[in-house]
Amino acid sequence: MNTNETNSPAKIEEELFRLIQNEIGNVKFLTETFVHENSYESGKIIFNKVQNELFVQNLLIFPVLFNQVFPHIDNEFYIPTLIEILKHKKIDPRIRLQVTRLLGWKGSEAKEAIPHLVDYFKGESEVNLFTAIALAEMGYEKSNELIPTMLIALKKGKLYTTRINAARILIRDKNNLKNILPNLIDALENDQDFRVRQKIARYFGEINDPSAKKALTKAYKSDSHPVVRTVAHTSLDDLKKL
Amino acid sequence: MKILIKITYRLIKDLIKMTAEKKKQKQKLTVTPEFTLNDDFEPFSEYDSIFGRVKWDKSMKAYKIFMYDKVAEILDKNQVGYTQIDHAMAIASWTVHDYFRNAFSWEKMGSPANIMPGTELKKYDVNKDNIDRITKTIKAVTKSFGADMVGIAEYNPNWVYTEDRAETAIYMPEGITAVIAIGTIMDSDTISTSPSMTQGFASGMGYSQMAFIVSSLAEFIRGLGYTAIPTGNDTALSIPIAVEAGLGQVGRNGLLTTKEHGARVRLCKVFTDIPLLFDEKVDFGLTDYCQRCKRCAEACENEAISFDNEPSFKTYSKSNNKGIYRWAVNVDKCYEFWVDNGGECSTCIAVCPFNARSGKVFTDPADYWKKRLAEQ
Repeated sequence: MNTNETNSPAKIEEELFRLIQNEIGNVKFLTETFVHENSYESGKIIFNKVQNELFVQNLLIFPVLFNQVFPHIDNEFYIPTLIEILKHKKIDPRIRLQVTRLLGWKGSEAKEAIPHLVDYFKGESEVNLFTAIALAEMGYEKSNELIPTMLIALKKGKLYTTRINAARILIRDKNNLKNILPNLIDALENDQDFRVRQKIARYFGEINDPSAKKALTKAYKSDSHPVVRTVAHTSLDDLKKL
Repeated sequence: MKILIKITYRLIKDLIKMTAEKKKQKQKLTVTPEFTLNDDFEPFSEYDSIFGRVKWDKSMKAYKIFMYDKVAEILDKNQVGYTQIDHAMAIASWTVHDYFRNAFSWEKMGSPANIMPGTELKKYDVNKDNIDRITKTIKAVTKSFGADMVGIAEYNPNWVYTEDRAETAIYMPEGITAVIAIGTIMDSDTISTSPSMTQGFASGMGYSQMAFIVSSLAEFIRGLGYTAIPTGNDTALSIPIAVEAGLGQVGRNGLLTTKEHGARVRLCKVFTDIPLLFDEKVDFGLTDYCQRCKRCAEACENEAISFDNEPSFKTYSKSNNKGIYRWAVNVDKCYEFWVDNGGECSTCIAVCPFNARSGKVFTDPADYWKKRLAEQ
C-alpha cells in the first residue's frame, strides 16, 4: 500500500499497526518501507502511541519499533519520541538501554534528553554504563561526574564496544587525563579483547605521556596478540614524530 | 457546527503541514539514490586512490608501506586467525583475480585452447520488441555465471576514472550506453571473523569470482556482436554505478549497502553498447538509518568512519573524491589499520545491522576453524 492509497491519517495508522503486528515473529522488513514512505504521519502516530506505557512495555513490538520504525520516522518526532519513552519510569531496562544508545548517537542534538538520563548514570549495570556514555556524547556539562561510571564501563562493560566507547571518551578528557591514564593502561594490559587493547595502543600514540609510552613499549614487547604488538610499534613510531 | 469547522480547520492545517514537510524532504540534500554533487566535483583519478598514493604520496603516513609488509612479524602460531594458514588462504583466494589478467581484457579473447575456430556471426538484433527479453537474458546469464545481484544503469561518465593507478589516462570507447553492475555476496561466517586474516579469504574469493563473472559475461556480450568492457575495481568507481543500477545505497561506512545483505557484497561491472533497459534506483531509507546509527563508526578499528550526524562535503585526503555529499571515510586511517593487521578488515561490514539481517556480526576465528574442520 503506498502513500496515495493511504492518505488519511486513520488509514495510515491502521496499516502501520497491521504491518507491525505482522512482523512479530515473522520478520519481513515491510514495516520499514511503509514508515519510510509515510515518515511524517508515522512519526506523529508513534509519538502519540509511546505516551502509553503499556505500548512501550510490549517486548514483542519493541524490536520492530527499534529496527524498522524509529530509524525512519520524521526528524520532528525522532528525539521527542525517544524522550517520551524515557519518561516512563518503569520501562524494561533493555528498552531503556536501547533508547539511551539511540539518543547517545545523536550527541548534542539530543541535549534535551539529558534531564531524563541523569538519574540513571550512577551504578554498574549496563544501563548505567550506556547512560554515562550517552551523556558524554551529548555534552553533559557536569562531565566530571560521569568519570567514575565511565571507568567502570572501561573495566567491566560486557560488550567490547562499551569498553571501546569508554576509552574513546576518556582519552579526550585532557583535563583529567593524568588521573584517568592508569585505568587506560590497565585496560591496555589486561582487557581480554585485543580490539580494545589495539585501540588504546593507537590512542597512546597521540598523547605524549611517559607512562603511556612505557605501557606501549610493554605492549609492543609482550602483548599476547600480534596486532596489538604491531599497533603499539606504530604508535611508538608516531610518538617519535611528536 | 462550530466543532465541525474546528475539525475541518485542524485537518486542513495538518494537511498543509504534511505537504510542507514532504516538500522540505524533497529539497533535502541526498546521499543516495540521487547523488548530490557540488561545483568541486570532478571525475576521480585512481592514481589518487589509497593504493595509488601509497606509492607516490610522501605526505601519507603509510607512504611506501604496503599491506603485507608486517605480515612476517604478525604471523603467530598461537593466535588463531593470524597464522600462516590464514594468511596463505587469504592470499590464495585472490589467485584467479590476480593471475587471470585477460579477465579484464577490453578485447574479445577467443581461446587458444579451442581446436575448432569460432564462426563469425552477425550482430544480434535488439529492438524495441525484444529489448525487455534481452535485458532479462543478460541478467539471467550473469547470474548463471555466479552473480547474486545484477542491475543495469545508463552509462555515466562521472564515475569513470580519469587515470588508472599508474597515471595512464582512461578513455571509454565511443558508443558505450550502459553498465551492468554485479554483486556477489561474501560468505558471512568468514566476514564475521573480521578483523582477522581469516576474513581476507572472503574478500579475495569475491575478487576471484568477479574475474570469472565479468570475463564470461563480456565474452557472452561480444558473442552477440557488441562491445563489452569487463572491470573489477579498475576503470570506474563501482559503488556509484551499483547505486545507479539499483543494487543499493551508500552508507556511513562509504560502502554500497544492500537491503538484504548490507555491505557484504563485492562489486564489479561490465560496460557495453548493447541496448538494454535500465533499472530504477532504490531508496530503502538507508541515509536516515545511518544518521541515527553509529555502530560502524564505534566499531571501526581505527576510527576511520565519521561520527558526524549529517553527511557533508567534507573530505580527509586526495583519496576522497571531492564534491560529493556523503560521509567520507578517512581511508588513510583505514589503510593504516590494514597494514598493522596484516591484511584487509571488514569490521564495518560485519557490524552493520543490514548485514545482520542475513549474516553474522562476529565469529571468533577459533570457532570458525573448529566448525570448518568438523565439517571434514
